[in-house]
Amino acid sequence: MNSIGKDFVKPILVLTLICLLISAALAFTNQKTAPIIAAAEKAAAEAARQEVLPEADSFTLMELEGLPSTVTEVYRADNGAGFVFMLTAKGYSGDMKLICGMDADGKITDCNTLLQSETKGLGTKTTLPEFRQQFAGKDSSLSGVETISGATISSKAYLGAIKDAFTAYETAKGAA
Amino acid sequence: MKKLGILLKGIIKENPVLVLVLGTCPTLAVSTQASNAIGMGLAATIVLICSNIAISALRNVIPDKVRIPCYIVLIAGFVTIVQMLVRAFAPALNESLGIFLPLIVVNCIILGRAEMFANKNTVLDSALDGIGMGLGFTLALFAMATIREILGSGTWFGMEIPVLIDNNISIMTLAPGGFFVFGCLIALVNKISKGKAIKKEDFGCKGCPSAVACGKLKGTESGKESEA
Amino acid sequence: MENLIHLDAKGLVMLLMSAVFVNNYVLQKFLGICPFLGVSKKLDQATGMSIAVIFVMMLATAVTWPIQHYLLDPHGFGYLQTIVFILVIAALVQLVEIILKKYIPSLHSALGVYLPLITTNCAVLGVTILNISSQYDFVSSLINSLGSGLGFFLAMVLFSGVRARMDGGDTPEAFKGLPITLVAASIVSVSFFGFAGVIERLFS
Repeated sequence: MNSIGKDFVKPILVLTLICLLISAALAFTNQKTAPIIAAAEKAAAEAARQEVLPEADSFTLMELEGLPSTVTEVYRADNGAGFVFMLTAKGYSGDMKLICGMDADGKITDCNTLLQSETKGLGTKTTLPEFRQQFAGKDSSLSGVETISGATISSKAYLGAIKDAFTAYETAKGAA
Repeated sequence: MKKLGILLKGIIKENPVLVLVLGTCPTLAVSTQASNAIGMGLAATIVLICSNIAISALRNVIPDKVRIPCYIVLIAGFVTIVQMLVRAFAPALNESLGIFLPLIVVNCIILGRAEMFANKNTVLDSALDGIGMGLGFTLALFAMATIREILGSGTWFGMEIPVLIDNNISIMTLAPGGFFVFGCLIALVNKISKGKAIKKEDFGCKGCPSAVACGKLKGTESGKESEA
Repeated sequence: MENLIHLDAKGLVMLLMSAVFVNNYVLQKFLGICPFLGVSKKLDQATGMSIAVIFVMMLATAVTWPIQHYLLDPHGFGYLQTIVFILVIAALVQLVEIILKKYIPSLHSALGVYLPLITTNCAVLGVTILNISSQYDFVSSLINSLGSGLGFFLAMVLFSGVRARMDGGDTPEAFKGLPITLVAASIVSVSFFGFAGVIERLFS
């Protein structure tokens, strides 16, 4: 009996105890940090929206049907300054998460890259100010916007997502 | 003096990355920027110190049979706590380390030190060993990242370096540059120590829980470590 | 359960191909470097290890995906992900070893030695976590795991060929052993950039 206790019961007991203790520690840390994490994420998202549509005061998420698959979320500025579109485009290596702001007339105010994993030095050129700035003030024709040589796939995916944002704009304008 | 020795050996003589060749995955992956390297190094150091202390304190309680699962649970617990803290207080670091933050769990340095050192030494010694090894890991990462960031991006901690910023060799920040710089650094350590430094068979592998399987493999081949 | 990525047949093929060639786990994402450097010296060992990795990756994904989406997430236990996944993988590896030993001894003698090495292989834990954080649905997750495993296989087999050639070379003293292996890995990794363009053009 004694050897059974030593060989089987004790190891199981110790392992279970350690698992319980660690789980309790994790639950405690989670309880403390979860609100901070949520707040930080919310603040970061709000700041990103504010950056591309500076004239807006605050934003409301819109419930829309029939959006292009690249458009993940649409926000409406509460003061009617325009809309902000969250976009996911298929880049050269993985997804690119973009954000695009438009004023009430459907002209781009600004757009930005939130997350990308493109090839450094080539596809990452879509994050440079030179590329980003050419979108400001453009309407759905996007005339004069040029893709980057050497980063064709990344910049075409970027442009495609922005074009989809204009489709979503029509939907959003109809619903607003 | 002995205590100082425990602390210092991890930094140079038994550097976990450059001499013991452990934890290669995060070393190669996050050493594209000096700031990421420091962040990763510190996160791993905190986990290493905590797990060393906990395992050393429990070394007489944990039965030998279930020690590996126990260590894994303890380490995974500390990793998750660190991960939550990083997400709460340094979200930018969380973004740039990505998957490699939770993967500290399978970093062989941490399980290796638990097996080799913490389960047979006192709490204080284990803590010092954890600090030394952690700093050694951080230092190696930092050296790699400095080379790769300066040559690859022309920056250091994000500060632009004149001339180099316009003549960057961007392949250095990509995967091939990682392998290349790591190989050159180990060769440098070999050169300085005249081939004496890398004796992976002597200590590195023993700490790895898979050492037994490795041994089986070596029976069928000449063993790559013996020629190093 | 919402917001999961569902892919059609073409999307799945593209996911598989890019997991093998473009986002190769070993050569582009730096996951599973230890076995890549340690077990790639002989072709038969490289093959055995890779087959074991593909098998465990698929199995681990098939088990961890439902755990995350039906057990952890609905009850707000998402933060236990790392600890649960690593334990599940460790237990799975043990289980597979026991089953193989008892019922298919021939396969056990071929793959058995590689199985314990896989528990601490970060590619396996990495693929299960990445499947969750990329929000793939169940089928896409399995395909991604298969692709990642095949990518590991491809890198191992290619690299064992390169290493066999290296033995005859006249390597400088300081570079002998691991350093020259790493430099060779760097060159193999460059060659994968070529693959990336091919896959991209095939589907665009």
